Amino acid sequence: MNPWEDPAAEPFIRIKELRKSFGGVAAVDGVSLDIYRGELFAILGGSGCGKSTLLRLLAGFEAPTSGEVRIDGSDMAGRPPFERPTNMMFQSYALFPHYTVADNVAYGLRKDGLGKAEIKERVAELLELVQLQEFGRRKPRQLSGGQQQRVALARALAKRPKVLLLDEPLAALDRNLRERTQFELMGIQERLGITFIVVTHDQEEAMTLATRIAVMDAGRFVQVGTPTEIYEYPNSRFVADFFGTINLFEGRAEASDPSRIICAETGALIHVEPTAERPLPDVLFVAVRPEKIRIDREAPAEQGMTVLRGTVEDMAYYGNHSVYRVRTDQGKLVQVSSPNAHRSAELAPAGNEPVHLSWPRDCSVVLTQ
Amino acid sequence: MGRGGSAEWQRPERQWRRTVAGVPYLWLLVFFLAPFAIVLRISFADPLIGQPPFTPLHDEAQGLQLTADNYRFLTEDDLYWVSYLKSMRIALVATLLCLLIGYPMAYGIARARPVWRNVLLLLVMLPFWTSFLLRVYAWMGMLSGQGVVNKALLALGLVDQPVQILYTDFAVCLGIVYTYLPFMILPLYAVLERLDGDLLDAAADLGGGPRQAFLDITLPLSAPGVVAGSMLVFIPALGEFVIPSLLGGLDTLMIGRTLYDEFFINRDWPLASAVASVLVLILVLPIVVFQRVSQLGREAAR
Repeated sequence: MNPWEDPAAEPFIRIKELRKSFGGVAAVDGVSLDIYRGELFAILGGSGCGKSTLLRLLAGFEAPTSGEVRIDGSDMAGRPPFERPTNMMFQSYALFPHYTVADNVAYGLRKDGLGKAEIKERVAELLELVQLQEFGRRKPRQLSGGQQQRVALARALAKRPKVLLLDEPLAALDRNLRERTQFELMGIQERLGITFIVVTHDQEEAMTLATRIAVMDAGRFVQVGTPTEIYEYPNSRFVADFFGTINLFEGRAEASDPSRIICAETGALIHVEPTAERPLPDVLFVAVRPEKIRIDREAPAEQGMTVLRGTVEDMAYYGNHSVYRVRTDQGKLVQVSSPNAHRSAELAPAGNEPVHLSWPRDCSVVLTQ
Repeated sequence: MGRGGSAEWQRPERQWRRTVAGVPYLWLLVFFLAPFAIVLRISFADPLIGQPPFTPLHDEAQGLQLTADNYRFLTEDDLYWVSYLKSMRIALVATLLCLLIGYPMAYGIARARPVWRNVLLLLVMLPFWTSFLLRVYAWMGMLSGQGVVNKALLALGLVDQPVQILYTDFAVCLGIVYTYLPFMILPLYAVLERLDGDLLDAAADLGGGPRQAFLDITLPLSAPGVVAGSMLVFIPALGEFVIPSLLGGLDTLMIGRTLYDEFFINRDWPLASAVASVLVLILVLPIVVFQRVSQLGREAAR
């Protein structure tokens, strides 16, 4: 069982009603969150949503306006950054340019007053961990971006923090390096058993890295959950839209049968699962992921499917899948992502071809906000 | 397009680049090297009553005429050594004071809110809008026996009678610090303003308090600004003439004044030229050292 599902589990980091305002404007607006030991937790949001401020509050660079942060049972209030069991990896890496790589890594250890021999040993260990054994005597600017990032990681891990805070760890890397670094980060996290908190604006990064994700908007958490929960069961249009592409239909539930929703713009009938939340508001939204929608020339035979007829407007071929944009007969544009399970392209619908779009009712997500 | 084609359209650009790079060199040649060559040449001549007041370089009868008498005289008469040393002492003290006053000011401006920064920088440069001479005269008024400074000291009961401030080394130092402080602040500000705040956060995250972060990060990274500011203050302060003649006493023998006296009072151009040449040597030396040090720094970084 995952710790967050276990009511008996003791949270490792406890954030309670945390608030931080700058000149009357709340950057972090009363958030509460429990993070468990060994989690790789992602805080996800657009720029200015307050995610970086939240990270800085955890690190101790900012003092909260109100609220509480407890790490491993002790209150962090009034504790300067270097007296917290946290260390941070900066988005800019923030490597000291006038120090060598080894001196950068050793900085925190020297400040802690460790012996020379011990420091040397630890630095060698850390550089090996990030595979930079040969680079200890270089200056940061002589390294590539990816290498600099690994130095930043080694430096942040040097003091053996209980919690590692990572600010946009992959943002500055190119695509190939991102994927590798991502797995490296996960490997190191697993090996050292440190709790990671990652701040990112990239939903893909959050989804692949994290055990759980908190989606943040305007200083508050909109939804907290596992990547699957957030992708498959978004609780709002904001979250649905933030995570990948989604088709939204505005509509109203039929009074007699709330599992039938009539689309407001198109009049189409959409089947949904009967939800526990009653009564449904007058205006609600149905969200469907592009890959949940089937695209066929013929109408599907199954019962209880939502079926929309339309014409293929255009199609983009991505190799492993193709993305169609289909204009329904009622005039709404729907995006469909279809895996290319067969090699022959002739079987796939092409531009201007009339098609049927269909999806089962459990793929319709009903959103009330 | 082939390689030849690209070279075709690059040629005028290269010429243009050469022209642009050449202008400062030409400037240096015409307004520094050529005059200095003349001064250097005069410093090896003998004084003469006439026009010009020194012996010609070439004589029909005796051929090339060069003498090191002037330089020898510089070592014989204590006056010059005293002047050089005094100048250096005053310039050094003034530079140090500028650094001590200017660093916190530059730091404060760099850390101020962006809207305030330009206002504060403008205030630093504001004194330049009044004539330099006027400002030194103003100091004379303020430092004199009946000046505001003495009046304030008397009113506070700190002294019984006016103290001699004007016409002392202290007044000269004060005048130099006041005049050259902006030259210290501006380069320091330029470095401190660019300092990445993340570095200080990282230091705070790993190390100690703000004092540690300042000593470990801010101070070493602002070293280029410290060096540039110190040179901008030290070099003109060393040869300063107006401030010591207006604020200094008879014993404030700075080399600028000695130089002036040799040229215009004694009309000994060759000796004055020798004094000036040695002064340039004294100024060039620290620059060469600085260049070497920064080059070594760059090489070490590579």
